[in-house]
Amino acid sequence: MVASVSLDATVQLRLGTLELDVTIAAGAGETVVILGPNGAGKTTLLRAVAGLVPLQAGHIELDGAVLDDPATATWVPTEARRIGYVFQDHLLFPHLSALENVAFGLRAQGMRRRVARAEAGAWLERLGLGDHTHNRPSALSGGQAQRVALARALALRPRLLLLDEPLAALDVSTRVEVRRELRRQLESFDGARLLVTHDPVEAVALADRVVVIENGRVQQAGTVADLRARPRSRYVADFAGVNLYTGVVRSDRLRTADGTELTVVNDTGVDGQAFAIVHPEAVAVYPAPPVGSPRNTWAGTVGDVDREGRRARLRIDAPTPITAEITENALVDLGLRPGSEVWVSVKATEIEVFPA
Amino acid sequence: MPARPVPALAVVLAVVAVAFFVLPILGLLRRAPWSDLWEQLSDPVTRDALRVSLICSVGATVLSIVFGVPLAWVLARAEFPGRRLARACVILPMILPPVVGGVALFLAFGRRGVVGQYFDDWFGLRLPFTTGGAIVAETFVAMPFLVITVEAALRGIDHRYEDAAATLGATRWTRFRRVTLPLIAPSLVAGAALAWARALGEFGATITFAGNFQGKTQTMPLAIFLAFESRPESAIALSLVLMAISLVVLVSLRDRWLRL
Repeated sequence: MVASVSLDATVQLRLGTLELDVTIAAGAGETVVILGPNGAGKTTLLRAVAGLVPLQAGHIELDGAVLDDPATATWVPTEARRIGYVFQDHLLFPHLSALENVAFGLRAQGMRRRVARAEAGAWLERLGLGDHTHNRPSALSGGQAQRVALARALALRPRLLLLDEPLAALDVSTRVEVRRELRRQLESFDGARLLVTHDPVEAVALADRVVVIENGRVQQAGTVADLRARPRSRYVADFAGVNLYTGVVRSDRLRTADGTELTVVNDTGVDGQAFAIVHPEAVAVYPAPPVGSPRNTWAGTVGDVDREGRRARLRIDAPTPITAEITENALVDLGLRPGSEVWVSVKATEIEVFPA
Repeated sequence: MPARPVPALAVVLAVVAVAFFVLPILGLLRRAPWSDLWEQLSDPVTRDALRVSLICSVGATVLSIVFGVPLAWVLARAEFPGRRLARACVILPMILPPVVGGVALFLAFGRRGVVGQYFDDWFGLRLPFTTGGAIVAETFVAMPFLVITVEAALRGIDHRYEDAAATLGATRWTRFRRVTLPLIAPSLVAGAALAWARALGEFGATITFAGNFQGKTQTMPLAIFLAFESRPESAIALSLVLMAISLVVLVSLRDRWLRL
């Protein structure tokens, strides 16, 4: 738990078809990752916190000061909030050099040109961009532009830093390195951080805590380990890389939403609405109906096949779809490809149930 | 990929069309009094016309920028009832015959006009038949060019740059001055140049509203028209000057601003 809450916000607003109702908190020195599918309202949440979209209800408080509260007609405009914002495509001013971009905020605060430029130069130096101070944004690589955008936001020493998909605009080859850099830079910033992403890898790499947003609502919140152990939605289950089923548990039987009955080991005495997770590596795949101890077997068709190193993940389409992970050798031996008819089986002991 | 053959008929018609534009220019160049061009241009009537044209066209351009940029901003950014109607009224002078514009200006701002009588009674300000009137007439015709160019630019830029500036502590005015204005600068320059060129060539509204007084309201187009009967050499010399200016505007705006 974090000692002092820096950001305390309940954001309620309607924008087009999006209905956002999210409560979120972040402490000083903490990185809260907001994870969710496209269109879930993540960016709108950041924009509301920054004051670029007004709340319709709720409140936004930063270090005890109310920034937005429709109930009391309190409204602090964006330019007075001292919230740093790193935009998805960086939004560096195209007509200004890297140095002038970083100096922009300092100048807007009334700092003299020479002093502002010197300080901006120091920021760029700190982020390893000393050689690019006079380049226009169009002459910077994606990773460099991302760092300039970060320097521009940090130069004002904000109390809160908002990052909207900071790595999405980068190509895959540079992303790993920039992500490592970003982690280091975020750790040196002592304010609270809210980072929006739809990339689970980013969440795992950068988050102290994850808040999952779907359809404008908080679906689940906790540490990465919490989410992995107890996913409560299909989206979080995909993030955790596990199969998730919802249904009703009665003693050792789970009846899923689509009507399939699975045998489970229910030693915690769950009764009623429940989630069940199955790790893909616990799913066995056969070319013919298996004979043996597994209680749960069903037929399906191989959909997508993803190879990761020596392993392969198979999406198996069936009334109860499931993802299985097998070795590359098994994949070759069984001659599996999209469209192959297969049987899957899961031992009852490999199905973990927990109450909904 | 090989270019597709162009139909012969289209080629012939296109050549005729190009000739239609080129021949008048050649005619002007051929008849130009090259040997005593300077003499023609230093004639007092001609010099007055040049001076009045310069003052009026620059004045009209400045007025167009001062009022036109805020107008473009409101049209591009604000939602209000009657916005489309307001926009139509702003564009109307581009289509309206300039003489009609001059008559309308006279009825509004003339000494007995709807508004003009109060200008006269309260401030002693009379626009018709003054240099100020010529500037107003040229602004009426020229400003729409600036407004629609700048409005399109304001709609085209990514508003989130202004959001980014706001998160960096910039007030609304700073955002406009340091972000919006530089982003629309190419269009503003193009719009101002188009407005200036239009003001420079303005004839109908000026002569109807401001009259034709040498040294006060007689601009180059007016002087050319008058001289054409009596002193064609002088008219051709002045025409050459206007054509040269048009060429300079066209060439300097090409590539960078107009993308011809």
